Amino acid sequence: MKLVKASFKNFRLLRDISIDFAVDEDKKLTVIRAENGTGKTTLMSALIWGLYGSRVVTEKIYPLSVVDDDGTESQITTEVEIDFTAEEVTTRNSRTVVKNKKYRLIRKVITKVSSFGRSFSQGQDEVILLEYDETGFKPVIQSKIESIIERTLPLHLKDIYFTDGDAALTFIESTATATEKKHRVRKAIESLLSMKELESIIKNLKNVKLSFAKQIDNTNYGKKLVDAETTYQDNEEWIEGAEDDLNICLTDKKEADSQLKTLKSKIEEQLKLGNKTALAAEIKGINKLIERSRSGIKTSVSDQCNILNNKDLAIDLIGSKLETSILLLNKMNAKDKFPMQFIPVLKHALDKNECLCGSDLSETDPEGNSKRIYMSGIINDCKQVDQLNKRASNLFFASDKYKKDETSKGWVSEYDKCITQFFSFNSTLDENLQYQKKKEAVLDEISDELLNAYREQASTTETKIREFNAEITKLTEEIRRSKERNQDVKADIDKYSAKLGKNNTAGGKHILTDTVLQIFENTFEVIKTTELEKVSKEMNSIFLSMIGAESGLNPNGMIRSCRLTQEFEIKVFGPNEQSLNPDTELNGASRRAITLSFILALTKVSNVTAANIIDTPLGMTSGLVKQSILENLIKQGSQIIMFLTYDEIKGVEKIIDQYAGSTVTLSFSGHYPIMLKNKPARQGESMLCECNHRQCCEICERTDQTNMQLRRA
Amino acid sequence: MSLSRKLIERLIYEEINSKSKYDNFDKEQLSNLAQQIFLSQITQIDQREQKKSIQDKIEHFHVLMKDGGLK
Repeated sequence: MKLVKASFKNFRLLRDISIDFAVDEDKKLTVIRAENGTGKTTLMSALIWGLYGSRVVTEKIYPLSVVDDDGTESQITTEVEIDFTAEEVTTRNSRTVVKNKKYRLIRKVITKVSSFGRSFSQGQDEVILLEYDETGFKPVIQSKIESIIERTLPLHLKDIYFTDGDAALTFIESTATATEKKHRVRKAIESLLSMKELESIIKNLKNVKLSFAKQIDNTNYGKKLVDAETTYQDNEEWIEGAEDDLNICLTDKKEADSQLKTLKSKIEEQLKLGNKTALAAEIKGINKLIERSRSGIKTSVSDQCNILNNKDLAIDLIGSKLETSILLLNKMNAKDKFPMQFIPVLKHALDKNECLCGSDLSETDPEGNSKRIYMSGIINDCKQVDQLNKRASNLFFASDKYKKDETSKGWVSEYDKCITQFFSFNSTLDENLQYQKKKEAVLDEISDELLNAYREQASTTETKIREFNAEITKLTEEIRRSKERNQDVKADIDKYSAKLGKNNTAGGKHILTDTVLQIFENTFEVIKTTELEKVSKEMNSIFLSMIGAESGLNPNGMIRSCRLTQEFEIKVFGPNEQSLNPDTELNGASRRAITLSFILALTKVSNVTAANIIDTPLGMTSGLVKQSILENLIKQGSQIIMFLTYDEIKGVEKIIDQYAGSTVTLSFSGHYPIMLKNKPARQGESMLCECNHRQCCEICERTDQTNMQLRRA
Repeated sequence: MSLSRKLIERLIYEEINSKSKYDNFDKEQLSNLAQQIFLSQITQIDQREQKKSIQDKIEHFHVLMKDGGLK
C-alpha cells in the first residue's frame, strides 16, 4: 500500500490542504517541514481518521476557528480524502489473482456546534471508497469497504505505520508492563508474517483432508484410511488442547516461581532485620551504656568545677600579679604601720569621762565637753585609716599562702585528664544514642505477623509449584506418547493412501490435500524459526547502523547488540552480553532507534510494501547518528513520509536532496508576528506551501530562520 | 490483501522446490494451488467459506494435475 495524495477540509487546523506524496522507488521520501505547533500531529490524526474513522480518533475534529461567534449554531463538515494504491485479490473463473489497484477513500462527518461553541454533537462517519479502472473512479459496495481497508492497513498495525517519534516507544516504553510490550511485539509479528492466517489454513486443510478421506469408498483400504484419519485428527485435536493446557501450566508455573522468589526475598529481608527478642535485649544493653556515659560526663563536669575552684589554679593564674602586692605589704609591716590601737584608748577615756592627762571630760563641764568633741573628731578621722590597716594586715598574714611555687602547676594535668574524659564520654554517648535509634527503628520494622504471613504464602506457592510440576510432567509425557502414536497412525495413513488405486479420485484429492498441508506446516515452521530469527538479525543490524556502532562512529559505546527473544521481547545488550534496560540505560536517540529498527526489520522481512508515516523521527539526535537514522529509514522503507522540524533538517539537507520526491512546508497563521514574518491572509489555520527544505516564501518565511532561498510563488 | 503475501509466496516456492518429496507432483501447479489457497484464505472472513473455498481449489487442481503429476 502506498499513499498517493491526501486532502483535508475542516479537520482542526487543516481548513483546506492537499498533499502529494512521493511514490517513486528512487525518490520515496516525502518531507513535510513543520515547526512545532503548526499542525503535524493534526495531519497525522487526520490521516488516521481518514483511514479508520471516529472509532479510533475520538477527540473533536472540527476547527474551533470556524465556529460562528454571533451566537448561532454552526454546522461543520469535516472531510478527508486519501488516494492510495494497494494489492487486491480477485477471483475469476475459479482463479484467485492479485492485482494492483488505485483507490480513493473519502470520509466525511458533520458536527453541529452550539452557540459560541459551548457544546457539539458529531454525526456518523460517511465513507465512500472508489476504485479506479480505465474509465475512471467507480464506487466499491459499502459492505466491502471495511474489509479492503483492514486488509490494506490493519488497524492493529497502526503503531507500525504511524509512528510518533517522540513516543516511538510503543514496544519498549516503560509505562507498559512487560506482558503488554511482549503482546504488542507478538501481535505485530503475527500479523506482518501472516502467522494467524497460516494457522487457520493448516486447521482448514486438516478438516478438508478428513472430508476427502470420508469420500473414499470402503473397498480398497478406504475404510481403514478413514479410521486412521479420524484417529489422527482426534489425536491432533487432543494434542492441541493438551499443548494449550501445558502452556497455561507453564505460564502459571513461571508466575508462581517468580512469586516464590519475591516471597523468599521478602522473608530473607525480614530475617536480616533480626530476632525481635534478641534485638530488645541488645537495646537494653545499649541503654545501660548510655547511662554509663551520661554518669561519666556528670562526674567529669563536677571534677572540672573542683579544679576551677582549686587554690592552685588561682595561684597559677594570679600568683605573679600578687607578688607586687605582697612586697608592698611586707614594706608596710616593716614600718610597723599596723595594727593601730589608738581609737580604743580614746574611746575608753571618753567612757570614763577622764582624759589621759587626768582632766575631766564630762559633758556638763564646758571645757571637758569641748575636749570630748575634739576627741570624737579624732576617733572618726582615724576609723577609716584603721579599717585600711586592718585589711592590709589581714592580707599580709594571708599572703603567705598565695606565694607562687612549682606545686601550683598540678591543676593543668588534672584539668587535661578531666577534659579528655569528658569528650570521650560525650562521644561514646553520641555513638550509643545513634545505635540505639537505629536498632529501635529496626525493631519497629520487624513484624512477626508479616514474617509468618510470608512464610505461609511461600508454603502455599511451593505446594502450587509442586502441583504444576506434576501436571507439566504428566502432560508432557502424554503429549509425547500421543505424538508417537500419531506418527504410527500417520505411517498407516500413508500406507493405506499408497495402496489406493490411482484411479480413486477421492484418494487422489486426499493425497493432494495432505501434500499441501505439509507445505503449509513446513512454511509455518520456517516463519516461526528462520524468519523470526531474520527479524532479530535485521533489527540488530539496522539498530547498530542507526546508532553508529557498526560504522565505527561509536566504537566504545555501551550498546553492543539487540535481539528479539523467542518470548517476543526486545532486548538490548552491552559488553559481555550484559542486558541493558531500554527505559533507563538507553539515551533518547537509542530508544527511538530501537523501536524504528524493529518496525523496519519487520517490514523488510515480511516484504511488505507500505507507507511509514513518522512524526519527528530525528528529535534528540544529532550529527552522524542523525544522518544514519535518516539513511536507514529511507533505505529500509518502501515509502517514507516524515514530519521534520527546521532543527531536524539541519545537517541532513543533502540526504533530503537525494531522496525526497516531495517536500512541502506547513506553517500556522497564529505564529505571526512572533515567528512568521508576513501577515497571513487568514487566521486560525495551518497553511501549506511548496517550499522545500532549503526555501522560504511569503507564507512560510520565519523570523528565526536565515539562509533560506526566497521562492517566488 | 495480506501484507506479507510476497513472503509467503517465496517460502512456499522454496519449500516445494527444495524437497524431493514433492518430485512426484507438477511443482508449478502445486505451487499455484498453495498460493491460491493462501489468497482465498485471506480474502474470506467466514470459516465455513474458507474451508469450502480450499476444498474447491483442491478439487479444481486435482483435475488439472490428475493426468500430469498425481500418481
